[in-house]
Amino acid sequence: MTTPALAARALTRRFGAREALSALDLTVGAGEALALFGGNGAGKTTLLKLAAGLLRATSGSIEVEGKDPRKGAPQARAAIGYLAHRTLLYDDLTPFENVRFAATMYGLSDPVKRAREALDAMGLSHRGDDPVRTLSRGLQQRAALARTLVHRPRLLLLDEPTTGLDRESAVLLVAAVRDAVGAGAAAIMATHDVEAGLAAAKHWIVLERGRPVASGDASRGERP
Amino acid sequence: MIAAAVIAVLALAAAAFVLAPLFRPDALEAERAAKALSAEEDLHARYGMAVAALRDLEEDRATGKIGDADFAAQEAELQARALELMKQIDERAAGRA
Repeated sequence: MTTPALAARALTRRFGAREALSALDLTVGAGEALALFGGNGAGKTTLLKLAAGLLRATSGSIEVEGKDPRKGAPQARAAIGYLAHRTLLYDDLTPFENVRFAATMYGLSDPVKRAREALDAMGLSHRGDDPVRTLSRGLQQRAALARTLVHRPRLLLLDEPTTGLDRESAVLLVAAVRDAVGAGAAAIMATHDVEAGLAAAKHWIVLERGRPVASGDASRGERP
Repeated sequence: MIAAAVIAVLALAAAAFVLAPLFRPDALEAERAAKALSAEEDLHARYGMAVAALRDLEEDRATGKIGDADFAAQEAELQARALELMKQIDERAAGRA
């Protein structure tokens, strides 16, 4: 049996008395994408942070490629790509410089080539040499996704990636996620944007107060 | 019996010829460097995620998505995680110097 990209079992996280995530069971395989819908406080971001190994579970377990995401393992190196809604870009550098910096930091063998490829994939080559601070929010988010994808992570965690984007940028971002999934990565996209979520992912679930209250298959026309 | 022994000796000689480069000092060094790089790549990726999550957390509080109690609990945990990863990166860098 193939090890899933992500497996959560009875995953629970409390903040004080509040249960942000409650006994969640979830499996996402390689080459699959899942859209997470739900209002503020539903538990979407908490799940992504647990998957990224940034927070500890109160109880239950979560594994990325069969391993605890808080513990690094050579074979699981840089398996995760995390795109937050605030970008990690340096404003005074260009998108190319930002992505090349990330590629170098990750130890990729040809950072210049990989940076150019990542920017091309996001349709950003024409603005690749302009300072980030001169770009629109949509172009900045595209650059941020190029940075996230440059090391070809096997699990993509996307937290409200289309917030503040124009439709063209959202479409390009979704296309890039689909490409990554088509190439074998798994993706989990937390979003309020139902159209973007359904375009990016075949499966979806709705969380409410840390529990799944609905789920469906977008390829069968099921909608939240 | 003798034929089997000859075949075994020839097979061992062939294996030794093929595998010998892997045991040369430069090959071992390259393999060690690749493993170290992999671990470093992983640490940098994790550190970047922690910083991104902290930035988002500040925004979530500013926009009222989370309350002060949630913010305080998560900020402390995320900061501790970022510092822990930074320390590991520094230790690796010091080990290389």
